[in-house]
Amino acid sequence: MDNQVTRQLLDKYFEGETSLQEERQLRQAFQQEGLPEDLQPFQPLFRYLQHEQQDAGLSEGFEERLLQQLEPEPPSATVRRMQPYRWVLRIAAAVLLALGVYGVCQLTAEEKPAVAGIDWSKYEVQEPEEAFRLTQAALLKASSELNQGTSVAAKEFDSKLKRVGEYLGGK
Amino acid sequence: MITLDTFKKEILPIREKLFRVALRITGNPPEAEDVVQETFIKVWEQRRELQRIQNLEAWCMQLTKNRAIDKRRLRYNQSQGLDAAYGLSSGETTPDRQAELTDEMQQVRQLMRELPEKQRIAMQLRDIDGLSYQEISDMLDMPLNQVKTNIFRARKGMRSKLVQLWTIK
Repeated sequence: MDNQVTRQLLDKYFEGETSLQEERQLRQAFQQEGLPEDLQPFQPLFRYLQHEQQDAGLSEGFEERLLQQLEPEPPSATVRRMQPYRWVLRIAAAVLLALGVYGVCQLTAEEKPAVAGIDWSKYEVQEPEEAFRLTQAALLKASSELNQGTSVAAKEFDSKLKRVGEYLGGK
Repeated sequence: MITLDTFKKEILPIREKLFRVALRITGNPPEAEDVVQETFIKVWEQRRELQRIQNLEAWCMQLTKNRAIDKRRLRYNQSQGLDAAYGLSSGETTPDRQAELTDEMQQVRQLMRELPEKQRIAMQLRDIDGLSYQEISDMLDMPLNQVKTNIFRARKGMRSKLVQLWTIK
């Protein structure tokens, strides 16, 4: 870079008006040997700045070393994290149990009619003669039961009447 | 709560920014690296409370600055020179010239140390790290005009000191 340009840039630099690009140019310009005497006092500054720039940075493997230190989760943290959810687990277990019981009951209730079901068609009378005979037998049975009931009632009535007669006679 | 995956994606990428600030405050690369590492470990330890923090980057930056200032306070003797970390390549220079350059840089380094802290840090972030005024303003949590003023004053201070040094020679 021309020394005159360097002087102009240097003035701008000390006034705080240079851009980052101009500041880079200035640092480069001051790396060369044999500068005019008026520029020489500032050469150590720009050499220093240039040199420091090369050194600035984290050492290699910083990230890996850091992550090795972060990876292990403290055991207390795990325990603490579980605590607030324990009651939720308890409720969930109770709900699951209730649902299970309800489900079993439902299944049992649905299965019952199938087990107890009777095919009545097997016992249905197909022949009219057979139907007549069965009906007649049923009516005879009912009639005899009815007659038996009447005679029992008559006997009962007679005994009561007799007791009333005895009572009145006694008086 | 912040997971390791979120930590890697959102927090770890700001490590270079944090390192620059730590380095400008401590003036020592290994120490600055320690500061960044300690900051990240602290962030990880407090990952359950991080949801309450609105600007995570600004918070990390503040932690870094505080730790770096503490470290620097602990280190009373700052007389280490341009040792191995700041040594010059001897590729193209004679041993005498190399000694001369090292001496020059040591002097500049000393002059920089004598600047008021805010001025020195702002100037280093601009002239060494190549950051814009806005980036420095965000990083240091300092108004833009104050950043410019600090850099202007730091450069002005360095100019008069360098001229003075040259006259004595």
